[in-house]
Amino acid sequence: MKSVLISTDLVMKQDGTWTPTEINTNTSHEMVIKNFDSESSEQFIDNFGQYVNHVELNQFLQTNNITTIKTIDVKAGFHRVIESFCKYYSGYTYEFNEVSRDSITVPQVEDGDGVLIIRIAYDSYAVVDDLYARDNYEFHNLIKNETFSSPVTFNIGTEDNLDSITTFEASVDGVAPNYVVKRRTPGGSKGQYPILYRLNSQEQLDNLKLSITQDEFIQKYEFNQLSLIDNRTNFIRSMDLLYGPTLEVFNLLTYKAKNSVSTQNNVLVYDSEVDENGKLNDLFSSKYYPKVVPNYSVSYHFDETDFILMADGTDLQATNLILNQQVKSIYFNEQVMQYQLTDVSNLTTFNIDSASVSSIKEAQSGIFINITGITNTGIEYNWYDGLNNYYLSQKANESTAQYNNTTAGDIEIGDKIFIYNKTTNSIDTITIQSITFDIKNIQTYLISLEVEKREFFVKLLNESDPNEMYLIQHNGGCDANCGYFYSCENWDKCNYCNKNNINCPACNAWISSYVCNSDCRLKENIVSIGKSETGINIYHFNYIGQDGLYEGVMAQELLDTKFEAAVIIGEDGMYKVDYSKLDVKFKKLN
Amino acid sequence: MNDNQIVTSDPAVLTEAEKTQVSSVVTTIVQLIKDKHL
Repeated sequence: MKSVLISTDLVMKQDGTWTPTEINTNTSHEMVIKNFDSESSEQFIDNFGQYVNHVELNQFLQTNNITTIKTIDVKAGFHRVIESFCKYYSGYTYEFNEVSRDSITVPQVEDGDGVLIIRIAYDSYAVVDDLYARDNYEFHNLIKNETFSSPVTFNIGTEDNLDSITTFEASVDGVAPNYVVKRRTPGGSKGQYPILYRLNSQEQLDNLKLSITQDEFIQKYEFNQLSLIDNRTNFIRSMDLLYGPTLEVFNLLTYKAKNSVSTQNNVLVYDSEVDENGKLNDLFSSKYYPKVVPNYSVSYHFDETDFILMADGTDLQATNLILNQQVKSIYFNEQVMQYQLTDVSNLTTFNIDSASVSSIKEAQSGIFINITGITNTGIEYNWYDGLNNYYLSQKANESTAQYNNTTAGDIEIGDKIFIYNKTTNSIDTITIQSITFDIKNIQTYLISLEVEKREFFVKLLNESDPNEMYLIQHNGGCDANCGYFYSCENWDKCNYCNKNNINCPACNAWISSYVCNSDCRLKENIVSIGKSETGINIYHFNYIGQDGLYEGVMAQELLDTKFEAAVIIGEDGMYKVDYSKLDVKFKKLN
Repeated sequence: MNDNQIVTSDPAVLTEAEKTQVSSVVTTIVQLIKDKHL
């Protein structure tokens, strides 16, 4: 028996009922998986039990005499939930059929008595996929007469156009958006959609309706204060199996996914919430749309306004930097360079050397951190940097220093950032006075040096300072064995070390450096070998379907602990771990 | 979890009333598709 898994996303309307915003087929989940062990039958309940209707699923399978479940899905996709179910309810044979992420057709999978095929992948030949999941016009046109529908406006250029946003409705609290522009079909550049609006008049609404293209549509932004969880907006995802020739429905699971940014977040600072057309600032919008903001952020070392300190002591405008040029570099001691806590007195000793630029990688768009600080001689500096960059810093009232990530919460007002004073050849400090965030669409660059554990310098600009001050910038270079310096674009090749995926399995579609794929869902043959000094469990494992033995941590185990900040969710939904924030090294053992 | 943290946390579970309503919506959508194509 064939089935397809569809997910339906719904948001709460003002009257407390829920309205569907879209349906999808190649779908996954937002469940946070803890302590996952692919070999343990009990892990299913721990991770999925409260969401999945597993008792009913087991009954459904028994009733239909199903003994074999075959899934069609991307690697490390939702199918792992089904696989985990099969381990918990022993007696089912499980088979996984992999498709690539960009696949629009599915492989032929043999059906038969006692077999349930679950398609979790897009199939352009299927009407549910190609019509209603792919094209929002078709979906909203389908449901337009139902009481649960919400107003939408399309501009498809024919008499069949759908326009149910007729009367202007103000923001329910004067703050939340009241309209959102989305793409009609998948596509568009990263971060471009949705575009949230807070319109104040019928005239503004009419202008917005005139401005949308055929591949966009307007949806009323449904906001109900009563639906917030932890002050965060959320949506319901219902995941249902449509099975058999008559498309019967079996509800597999439901949950409410919360936005990562609170509506009450007050560290997102911007000049203006809304422009003259009612369009909301991107950063403000992140409070109201449940997307994982860290995915929409970058690490960066320089943009066109920056200067790099070269090996000969001159400053070079960073955009003129080319590969293999020698830049000035700095090395403290092994303890510092491995991101461990160290006494500040250790920073008085360092080696200034030079290193060759091995990579200049372009990046753009995302959340940037803006820092203002003051030197111990009273000179104020202000600069932008990537959200995921690292600084050698000292917490207020502490006597120790450590490399810390700039992600919200790690670098705080009152912390000291260590900088290089070229004039006196010494390490100075800047005390942070303010931190704000901004979303900018600018061209930025990441530098890597060929020598690992060497940092380089980006000039701090303030003409009133008689000293020449430089940020100590983190090297994004790659050492496939240490785990600190991965920065790769795909599974096949590491940008920096140029090694293939066997040597660099941690590489994935992730722009940030120093981050390794540490999601237990990607691993198998997981064996506990002990704990680090700070109590983090260390394991040996291999990546599913790949050769090679590795040593590292399970990202899921760090959640809800003091090490949670080291966990990042990739665009593929898999957890990655920033090993520079842990006292554990990621190692390839063979 | 404080308001300034940018983190992903466990999803919440639905109430029985919410499950009933969502189930009704999904069933209706599927029925609309069936009415058009089956």
